[in-house]
Amino acid sequence: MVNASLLIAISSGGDNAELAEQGIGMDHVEEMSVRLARRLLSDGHRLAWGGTLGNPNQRLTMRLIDSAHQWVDENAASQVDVTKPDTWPLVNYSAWDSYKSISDEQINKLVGICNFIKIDPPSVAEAELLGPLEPGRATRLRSDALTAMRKLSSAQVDLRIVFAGRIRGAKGWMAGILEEVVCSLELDKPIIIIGGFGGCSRLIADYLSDLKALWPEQLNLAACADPVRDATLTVDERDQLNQRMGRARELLNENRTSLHTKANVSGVSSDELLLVLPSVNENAREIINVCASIAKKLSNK
Amino acid sequence: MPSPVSIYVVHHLKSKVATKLASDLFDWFRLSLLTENQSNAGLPVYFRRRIVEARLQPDISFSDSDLNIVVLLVDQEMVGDIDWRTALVRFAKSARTWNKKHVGKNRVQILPIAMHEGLYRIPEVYENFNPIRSLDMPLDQMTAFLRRAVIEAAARFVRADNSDVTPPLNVFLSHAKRDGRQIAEYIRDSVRSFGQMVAWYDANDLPYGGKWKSEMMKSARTDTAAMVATVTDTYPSRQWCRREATEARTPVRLNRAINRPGIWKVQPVVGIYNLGNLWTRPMPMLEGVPRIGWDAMEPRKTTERLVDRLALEVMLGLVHRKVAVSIARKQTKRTDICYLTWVPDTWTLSKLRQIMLAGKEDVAKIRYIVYPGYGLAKTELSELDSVVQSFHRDSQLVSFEEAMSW
Repeated sequence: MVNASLLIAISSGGDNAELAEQGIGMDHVEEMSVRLARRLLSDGHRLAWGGTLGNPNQRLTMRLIDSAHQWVDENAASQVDVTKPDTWPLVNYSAWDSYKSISDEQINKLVGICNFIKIDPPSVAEAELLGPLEPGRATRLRSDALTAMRKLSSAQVDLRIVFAGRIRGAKGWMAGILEEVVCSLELDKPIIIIGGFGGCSRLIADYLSDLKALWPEQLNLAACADPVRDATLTVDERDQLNQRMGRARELLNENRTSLHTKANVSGVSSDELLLVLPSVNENAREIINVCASIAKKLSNK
Repeated sequence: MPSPVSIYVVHHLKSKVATKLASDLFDWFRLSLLTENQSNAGLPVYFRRRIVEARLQPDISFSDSDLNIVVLLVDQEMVGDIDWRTALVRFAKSARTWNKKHVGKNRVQILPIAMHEGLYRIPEVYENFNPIRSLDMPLDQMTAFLRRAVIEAAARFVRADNSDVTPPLNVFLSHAKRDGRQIAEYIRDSVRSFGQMVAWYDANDLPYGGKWKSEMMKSARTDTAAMVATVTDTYPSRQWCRREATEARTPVRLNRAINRPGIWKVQPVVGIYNLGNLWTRPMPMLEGVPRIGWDAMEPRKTTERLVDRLALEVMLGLVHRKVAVSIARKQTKRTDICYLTWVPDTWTLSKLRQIMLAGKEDVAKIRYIVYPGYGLAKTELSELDSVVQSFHRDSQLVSFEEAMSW
């Protein structure tokens, strides 16, 4: 049993066409997510993820909830207090307007199991969110809400684990995994990047693995461009977006240097982080063991 | 360590039907995480959905598995794409060449599924590997059809174990005559439609109270027996039913030579439950048996799923055995490990101990009981603590996955 329970975010997802390069699909990613979730839950940790329960395509969400029912550690379960959502084993972050598909009944059914946190786009009046919106405005607010969700979850979790993830066509301003990694790095939060399941995480992992590697060209704003949404941006806003992307590259470059030159990065052993980076490492057991080991060490601090 | 069996599903990503079928096969052979949480002791399944320069990408490394089953979902997207057609021809040629060069090991078995007539215009594929027709089927029917086709082929190859002949599998239909006869008859008919199975239905084939046990045991020793338990209200109260279930679930040692405590197996068993309104009790010997409820509205679908699952259990038993043997071969000097080829439960573990004690074996020597899969949940493991520690207070369960890293 660990000394203290961590809140650990599991970020995965992806696209079958992109994952096909590895000979795998979303089925494999979901299986890995659930295996990892089971291990971390049974070690007494709490889990966080972004996803929408009401979306029938989100089979993963249902599986994680199912895992929490079956795999939560006995001690952790005994500490669950229905009046204190921060004791519940799962936290689900859901951004506007996806969260509309989560019904009150679903939320009520999962009291004591899953704390649903709904995130609105910042600085937008509630009335506007309720009313009809121009398509460009709506898409933009969705992207803003996703960014806000990633910032909030990064601030709240103790550790983030990322693997797979969509490269092109994400709903946010940039690929979701990339934005989550950047949010974590900005806050100097521990993050484990697993390259072995392809997708966006693999691109980042390949870059971090090799000090001489060039920035992966596929990771750019154009990969997630939406002409209707992007037409609503002012020149200044476009500049800010480009600056954010530039900042992402800087942070990952700094992170890469740290991984290869320092013993620890954000309180985690660089050796362990480097072990799960390579895209050739598809050994799920080893990866899960490394994640569990890192979580255990962090919880003992 | 090469995997005994790997399954690859090859399809065009534009085809939604093929994508869904591939996902269904994944769930079926992986033992879907949602419905099964017992150690996830399924088979590895991979996809090939991408071609680069008219070749499947990534390559399939045939040497990674003793048996590579490659399911080609050939639909109109695939036959209509020249790069895919070329990739299929190249792949079929490479598989044929490989099989000629590597007789008896790392075999490649291609299963072309004809979802479009265009497959019959690719002779390299259809002439050398028997295609299975699934033209114009509705999706749910195709899912069941494909599952059956793949499981039949996989079971045939795994059971034949590189010989040319697959022995028939005798399926014993254990049921109580009073309320289980009708279901057992449905199952008997479904078993007959599965190429390699022969149904033993006691009303026809075995004299009541006769020599069924010795016949069953003979089949069990030669890996040609499996059982379906039709659990109805009266089933637990029937002495014969209990004996049949006990017999099937009693561990049998497979190989003493590799490792002294040995590799153990139980007969593959699946259960079908049709409980009515009478008070009844569960049967402990069936605790770890996969089971499904009887659906009187869809008897054919239910029995098909049941029979397919039985075939999967048979195949998994053989696959787990190969894994156990390969782990044991690395640990030949150790006499404190015994290997199970099924996911353990209280009853089978307790029976195992009883059999070892009856054979005057020192059960206290056993420190590790190795079992298939990634590992049970903590709660499941803690439920087994008392029986595991009845071997020795330090005895523990170790999953195949953990044992592979020894």
